[in-house]
Amino acid sequence: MSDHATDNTTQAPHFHVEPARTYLWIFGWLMALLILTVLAARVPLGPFNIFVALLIAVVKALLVVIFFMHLRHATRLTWMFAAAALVWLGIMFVLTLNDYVTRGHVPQRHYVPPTAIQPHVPEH
Amino acid sequence: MTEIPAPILPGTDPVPTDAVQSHAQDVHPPYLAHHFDDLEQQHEADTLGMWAFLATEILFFGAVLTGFTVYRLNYYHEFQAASHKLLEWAGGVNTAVLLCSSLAVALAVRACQLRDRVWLVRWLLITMALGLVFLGIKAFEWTTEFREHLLPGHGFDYALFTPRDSAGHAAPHEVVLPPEGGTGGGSGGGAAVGSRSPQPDQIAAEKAPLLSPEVDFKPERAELFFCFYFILTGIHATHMIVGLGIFSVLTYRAHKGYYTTGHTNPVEIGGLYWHFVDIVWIFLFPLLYLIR
Amino acid sequence: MTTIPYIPAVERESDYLNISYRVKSWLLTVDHKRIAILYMLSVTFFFFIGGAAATLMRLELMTPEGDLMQADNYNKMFTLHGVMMVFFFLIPSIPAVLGNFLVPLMVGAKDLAFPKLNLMSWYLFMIGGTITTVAMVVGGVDTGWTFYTPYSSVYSNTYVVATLTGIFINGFSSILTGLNFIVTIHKMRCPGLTWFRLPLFLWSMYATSIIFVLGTPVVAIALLLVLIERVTRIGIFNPAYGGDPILFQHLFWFYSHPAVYIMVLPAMGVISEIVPCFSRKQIFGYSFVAFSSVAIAVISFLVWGHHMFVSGQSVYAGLIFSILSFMVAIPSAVKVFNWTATLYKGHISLRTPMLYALGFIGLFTMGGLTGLWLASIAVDVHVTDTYFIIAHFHYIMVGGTVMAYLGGVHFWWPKITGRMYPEWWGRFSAGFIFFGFNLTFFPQFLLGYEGMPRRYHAYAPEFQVLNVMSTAGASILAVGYLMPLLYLVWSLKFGRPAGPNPFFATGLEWQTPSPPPTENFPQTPVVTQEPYSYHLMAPQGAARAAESRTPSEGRAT
Repeated sequence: MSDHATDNTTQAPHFHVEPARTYLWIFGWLMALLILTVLAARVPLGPFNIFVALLIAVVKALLVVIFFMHLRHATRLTWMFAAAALVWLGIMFVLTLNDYVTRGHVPQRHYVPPTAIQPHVPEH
Repeated sequence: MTEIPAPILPGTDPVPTDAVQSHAQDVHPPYLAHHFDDLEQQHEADTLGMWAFLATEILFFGAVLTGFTVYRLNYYHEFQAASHKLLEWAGGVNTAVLLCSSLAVALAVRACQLRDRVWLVRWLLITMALGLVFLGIKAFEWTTEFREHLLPGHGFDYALFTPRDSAGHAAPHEVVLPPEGGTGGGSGGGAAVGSRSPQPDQIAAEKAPLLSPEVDFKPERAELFFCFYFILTGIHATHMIVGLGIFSVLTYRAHKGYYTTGHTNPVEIGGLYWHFVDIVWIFLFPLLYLIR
Repeated sequence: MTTIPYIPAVERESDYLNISYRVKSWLLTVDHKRIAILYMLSVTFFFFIGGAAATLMRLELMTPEGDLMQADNYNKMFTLHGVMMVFFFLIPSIPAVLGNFLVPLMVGAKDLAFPKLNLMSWYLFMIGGTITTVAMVVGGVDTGWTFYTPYSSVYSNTYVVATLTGIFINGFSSILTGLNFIVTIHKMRCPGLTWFRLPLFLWSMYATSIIFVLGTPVVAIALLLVLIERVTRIGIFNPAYGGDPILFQHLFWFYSHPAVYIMVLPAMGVISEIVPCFSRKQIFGYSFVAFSSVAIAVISFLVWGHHMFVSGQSVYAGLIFSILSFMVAIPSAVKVFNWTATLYKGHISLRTPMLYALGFIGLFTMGGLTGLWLASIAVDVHVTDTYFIIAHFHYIMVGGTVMAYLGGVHFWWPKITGRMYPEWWGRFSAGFIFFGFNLTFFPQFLLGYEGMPRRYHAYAPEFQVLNVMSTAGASILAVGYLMPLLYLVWSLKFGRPAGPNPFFATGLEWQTPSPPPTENFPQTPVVTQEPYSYHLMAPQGAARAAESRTPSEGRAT
């Protein structure tokens, strides 16, 4: 099975042709992870359910991005574009949730009016 | 002024003029746009352009998901109850359908790279068929939800989410509407205000969740879940429809043979777009359907 | 006063302007230079619409009573002013006009990476602009350009949906333009043009494009959600149905704060081109200025909460945003220091672009410093929603961006049109605008500090004197803006024909005829020198400086 599509008639850019087997293999993993997602939702893990579900989703997404979308063979610049998008998504999530998660967290100070403060008289 | 020498194309040597014509044909095929120097530059530019566009789409969906996350964190119980109402099997099947379609797209790109016109068209058609299956199941889901009065707005059935006590009686609940519609002020007890509060005879006790009295549970927050559900799946479906449009054009042109002479860019970047739509669904499925 | 020797005009060969005069050749063009001209005409049109609204507002504010218009109409006026100016003038102005024209020229390419996408950007801009203008004219919107919920999504009885549709469509125009610039700068640089030989205008364009690409989708969603909520009466931002209005503000300002850097970064890029040229000196600290552009773009995404200190967001989040807002001032200050150091011991010539640039440096510094005061939560709580805020952002947007835009238009006018603008009219207008601007907006700092609230058509009588000063300044400013419109149009027919490089500037765009041919360069240029090599040029008045050209080893990556 050819790995490189080179053509003698035109100076087309060289690109890496992925073997079909690789795609089928990744597809198999994706379906397995889908089944795992559904099963994991049925296991009561409390607040960790969402983390497990998202973790599996991230793995699936990475498989699609790296293999199906050919990021594996792409330039470093393309990696940076993909990474930048995720970083910015992270910025939006973190700084927005930073507000919602911390509402009411700054403790209320108890205001003591001056007359209530007794002068400290040092003992002789 | 010094003479400007003729440009030397990168990677090539200056060739005698009689060989220029055929050489030019080799390096400047008809699908090389006039403003690019060579095919490699065009290919890299096209790919980068599509990845930049996908970055904007990540932020586009991400913004809605940010809102969804904020509400899910604050209204966990209502969202959980609402998520139970979705057809999990439909979501799961749809995920599988899209994963198959991603495989089909990947194989289509591969066929394009190998200049196999027949299989390129076939895989593109299979992809589109799977996309239509996805949209069909989605339409079925939406009509089901519409019939069950889960569409946010006037038809929403609050009774489905009105908490009941252990005796099965629904707790009285008042939606506090803006001043023009009602009295405003606190909740609990009293007559229903405005046209959107549940009437006592609408209570369907067997459908409502059973909760202890101290849990703060408001049905309109479940409606909020469905707002996000329909908006997220709606925007996703719009992207699918656009993708189907793009793929129809690609399939037609592939059939005509445009993409099996070395010009793989359109199929590749079309594939990138389709994979991205798939990835969005990979995240939407657990976020929407599997809140447990 | 220096004199530039008269250079005979280049032979009247085919250039991008005279290659075809047919309307279809303009409306279906994919030439980035023509698209830039189309944008120039459109943004000028929207600018004067927004300016008309401002004129009416300042007329109303001459007297403390609300006598010229009712409160509702005043609300519609400031919304019209804000929407038109922000979305349809400031954001597209320098990137879409000067950026579109100059980016391919400065990288030595024949066009942008995606010329047809570029044309689509202009059409999306026009469609969005038309929808919004029509919505404003038939009845207007009274929510303010910030469209805060739940007023905009539930209670307002004005044409919110149409306006939001127009702005939403316009957003895609921005996104595609940014995408085009990023790919062009990465992939289409000519041989020898490494990253650190790029003109700083391109660094600014690159940083601006990052903001375009990553920020605009979020505001598109924010406005789309408001639209959906308004049409379907569901409650995403409506507290009655469990929604949070502050969520809208988060999503809105996530873009809208970086948007103000979309407005100012290209302006800074223009200044970085003008100052070295008219100081005859290499820019001081090139890499610092280059990196500061990218730093501004990145950090600008971390500070949006400073628009929300009093909105109800958590105090802790306010603290974080406050600290980050202080940090974003650092790269801006770096640039101001570098420009100043470039001026120091330079051979300054006070041509029109230089006057605009010097005005920019002073006014931007003032605007930026007042921004630091606003980053401090305590001060911000006092002056929020007062005229202090208005003065702050107008110092940057008008004293900064508009002046840089005019400076850039004058600087590159010979290149774009092949004609020189009339120098003395240019200098006079620049001074006139500077004076009018300060008279308009400096009193507003005082008004705000003393407590006059913004978005009010009537105010307490003790504020009248400063308001009258501000209106007087606005009338001077209006005249000041009309003058360039008139003499620049005049110069198209009667201006002195310009040679390729009337200012003896460095940069690839000056190495091609004025106006350039459609394909920009007769042959692909090759770059071998550092940028801003004014120190290597022959003194002004001698023969035209020529960059030495040698074949390169390969395309720069």
